[in-house]
Amino acid sequence: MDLLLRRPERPDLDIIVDWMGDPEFRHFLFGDSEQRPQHMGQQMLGVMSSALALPMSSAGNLLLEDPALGTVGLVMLHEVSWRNRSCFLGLYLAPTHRTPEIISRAIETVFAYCFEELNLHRAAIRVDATQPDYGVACERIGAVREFVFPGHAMRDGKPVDVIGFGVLRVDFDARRAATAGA
Amino acid sequence: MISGKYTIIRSAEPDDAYAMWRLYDPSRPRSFLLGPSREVMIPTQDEMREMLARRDVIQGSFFAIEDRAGEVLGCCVLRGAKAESDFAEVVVALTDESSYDSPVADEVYEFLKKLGFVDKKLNKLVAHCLCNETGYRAFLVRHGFTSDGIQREMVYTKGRYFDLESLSLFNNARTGGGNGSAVAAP
Repeated sequence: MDLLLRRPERPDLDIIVDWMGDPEFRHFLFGDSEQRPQHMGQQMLGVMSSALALPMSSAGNLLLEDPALGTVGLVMLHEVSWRNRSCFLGLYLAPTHRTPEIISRAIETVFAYCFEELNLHRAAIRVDATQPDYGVACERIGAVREFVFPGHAMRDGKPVDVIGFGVLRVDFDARRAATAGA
Repeated sequence: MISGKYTIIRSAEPDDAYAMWRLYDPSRPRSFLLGPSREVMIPTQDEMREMLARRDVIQGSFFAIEDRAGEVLGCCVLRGAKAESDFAEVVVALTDESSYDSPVADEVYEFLKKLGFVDKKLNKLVAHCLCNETGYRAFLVRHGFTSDGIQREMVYTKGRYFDLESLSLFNNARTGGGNGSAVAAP
């Protein structure tokens, strides 16, 4: 069953603040460097409000929710191009929900959102080589391992490879149709 | 200003706006035309002049390439080189496609290589090319860049999608070490 995607509400701020204790969430928000000119509160407000402008802008954040488990993570859509009809995805899952099953459902949900709601032609996600479960989940939905940037990101002071998985809508739809008909 | 055997490479100036603007030819899709969201962008001449007047943006990163007679042949760029990141994107945009297979282009590459690896102490240079930029790709490969992979149907222009290839060159590869590329070039 797909997870739900929704815009963050004000009460969600407590959950997002809790996630700030997780180094992976800080990396998700800030990238390799945590030295940002913006105050952390402003970053939070950015997370809360960015999806409002998604129909027009090139980035936005949405919360991932499971009907039984509650909020499990956050999806960042960035480099959204309405001309190319493409985007890149970032996916954060709270530590307690970082299981292969939820990762797989989350990946399927966010790619489906890109194609079935945003009407994109192509969507892609960059995954660290240290996150094999994410790569397996991507390949399960038919994503193609399109590129590997060797030593592109720093994790705990060490360079790690970044792997890019891309999905074309035509392939995603064909796979879904085949799965439904099976 | 760097005066070479075939070229003079100097910081681009507002007066270069028209010559630079001519490079933004929408009939010839090139990775050079892509903006941050990988969309083809065609600035006006005024926007070009305004951008070239911003010293904070172009200082040390955006260069005009002239031949020895003073004619502008194109530009080269070192995008995104910052102290906290150890890589930057190189762009070599020459008006004439056949120039990529010439000593002019080789001289530009030597300039960018020194700027990136020696002056800015970067670990990696990255570059991009669209699937139709065969001359530019051959130029990059000839200078040691290896393919990191191809993003399929990434750019839409001229009524069709183009694949976008990423290539990289590590400093240690330049000096004889491996770069660990995991995706074979097509």
